[in-house]
Amino acid sequence: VRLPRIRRRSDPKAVEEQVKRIEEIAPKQGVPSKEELSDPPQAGTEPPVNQGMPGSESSRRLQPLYEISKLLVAFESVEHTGLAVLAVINQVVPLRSAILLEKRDGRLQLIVWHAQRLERKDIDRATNHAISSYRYLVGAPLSSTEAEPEVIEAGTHLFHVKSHLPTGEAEESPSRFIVVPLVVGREPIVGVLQVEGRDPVNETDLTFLNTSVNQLALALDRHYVHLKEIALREHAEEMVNELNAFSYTVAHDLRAPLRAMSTFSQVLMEDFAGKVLDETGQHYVRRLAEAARRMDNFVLDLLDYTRLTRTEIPIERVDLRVTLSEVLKGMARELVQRKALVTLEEPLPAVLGHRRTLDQVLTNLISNGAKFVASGVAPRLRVRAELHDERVKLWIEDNGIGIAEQHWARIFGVFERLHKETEYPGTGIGLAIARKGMERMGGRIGLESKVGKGSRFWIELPRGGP
Amino acid sequence: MSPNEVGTLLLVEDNLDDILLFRRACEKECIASGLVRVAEDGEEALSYLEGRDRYADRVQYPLPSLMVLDLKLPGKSGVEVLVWIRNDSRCKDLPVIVLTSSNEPGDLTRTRELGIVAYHLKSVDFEGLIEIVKSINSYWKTHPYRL
Repeated sequence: VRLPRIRRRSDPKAVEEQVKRIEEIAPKQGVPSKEELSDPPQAGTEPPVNQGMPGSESSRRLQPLYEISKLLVAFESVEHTGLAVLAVINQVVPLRSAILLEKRDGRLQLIVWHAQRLERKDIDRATNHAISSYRYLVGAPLSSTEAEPEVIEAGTHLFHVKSHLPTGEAEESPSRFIVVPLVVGREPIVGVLQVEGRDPVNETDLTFLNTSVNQLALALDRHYVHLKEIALREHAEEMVNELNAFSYTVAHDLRAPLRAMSTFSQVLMEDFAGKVLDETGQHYVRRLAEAARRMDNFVLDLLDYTRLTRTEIPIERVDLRVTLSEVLKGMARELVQRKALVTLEEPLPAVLGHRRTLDQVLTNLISNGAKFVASGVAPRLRVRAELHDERVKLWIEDNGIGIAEQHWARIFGVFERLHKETEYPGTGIGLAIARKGMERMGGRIGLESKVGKGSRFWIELPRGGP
Repeated sequence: MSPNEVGTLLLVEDNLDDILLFRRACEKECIASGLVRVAEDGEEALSYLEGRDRYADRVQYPLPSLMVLDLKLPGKSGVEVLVWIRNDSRCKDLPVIVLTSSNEPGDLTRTRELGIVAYHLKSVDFEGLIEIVKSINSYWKTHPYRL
């Protein structure tokens, strides 16, 4: 099994950059300066931290742990924060080198390194070494071409690995490699920190390393969850934009041929009916026009429905009286055709909603009331408002055929119809538009009805002032 | 008012069916066909207004006193044409009526901001188009305008 190639920061410029970044971090985040980093305290001398603290081994490590958690709370970027954390670790456990690798998109990638007197090739080799350690930890087979780490000691989350890695000082003092896996909960290992201690590492050092790395792992995990959320949000925005572009095209380009079919059918009738077009021919042409018209209504209703899900609906004060009279004006042709009479009952107060959306909701409810009547019955509708403390309940009552209770929920679904289209024409989207519109405005919609006794639809919105 | 006083109506429309039907509706509404000129996209509409190329002949192509504008056009969009008109010192007051198949709130708001006489949604049936042309005609007759 070959590992994917890792991304390496192998050019000298990158090395310089790392050093520069340490300089940047040092004064800003209270981590050791470059001098301290590049010249860690020698074995036997006290590290230059916590001088005011009592001298016990574990309490001397409290301050750096606190530093680390501060760095992680102020998380800036994986590279920046990773490096700063390594710098703090270096204060406590003098390091010859440290390499932080992290699993990203299924690959193990070098995110940050800190090394003293190491050549680029040594860093590359250390990286390879860390990768093979990682594979050892996750149980993946090792490639024979790479140095096989020998596990000397293993704790729960901690492995000492003796390496074949030669460093500049390898001969003088045998390197002390410690590989600490980054683990988050039950997740598989999310990364690896490999450090090469300068001096023999004791139990307290190991605990410190383990604790630091656990914190780092959590912070990294949180960071990537955050990135994922951002990516998801961006993706959602992109989808909305595409949907908008799509709808725009549908509105224009899909409707054009329908318009041509419908209108030319009518032109055909006007010019040729009774001449070359006999009764049967006229019947067919009428059906053609009717089909095109139906499909056009369908397209328009679908666009209305999707628009309700994809556009912003700013909430404003809307005067019900004004809105209702506008709605009735817009429906005048339809209402006259159906011989419908709509009575508006005062008072009709203001509500909090969205003018255009409320317009759509009311149009659909009134149109429904005027449409679903028994044949021969003239539709009579009554619109009246009920004032509750903070809310307004608007009733739209009709003398129509009524709806059996088992259908009450169903009728608000998209494309739901209770009747054949030949009985009551329509797209079946009207009430779905009404429901979606009310949802988007933070209101409610419902009905009371009995078969043969008419329906009473209601909508509820917050009051828009006195 | 004699036809000459009414001036010329410039229809900006790329759909050949719609052009044909608009002309037919105009005939029905007694708008002489000689009063209607057509530009088939936004660029052509600007050429017409600027009097470029063949449109230099102002006898054949008089400056319009009313524009009926579709919004979705190949190349330059209807909104872009409208922006050009409003920024042109000579044409900036030309009355424009939008006749389009989109009822996207964005289009409505944008064109209203740019100053239009009316916004008509293209009708799926011919009676609807007749109604629209009727209202265009009554506006045109009662609001004489000369460029």
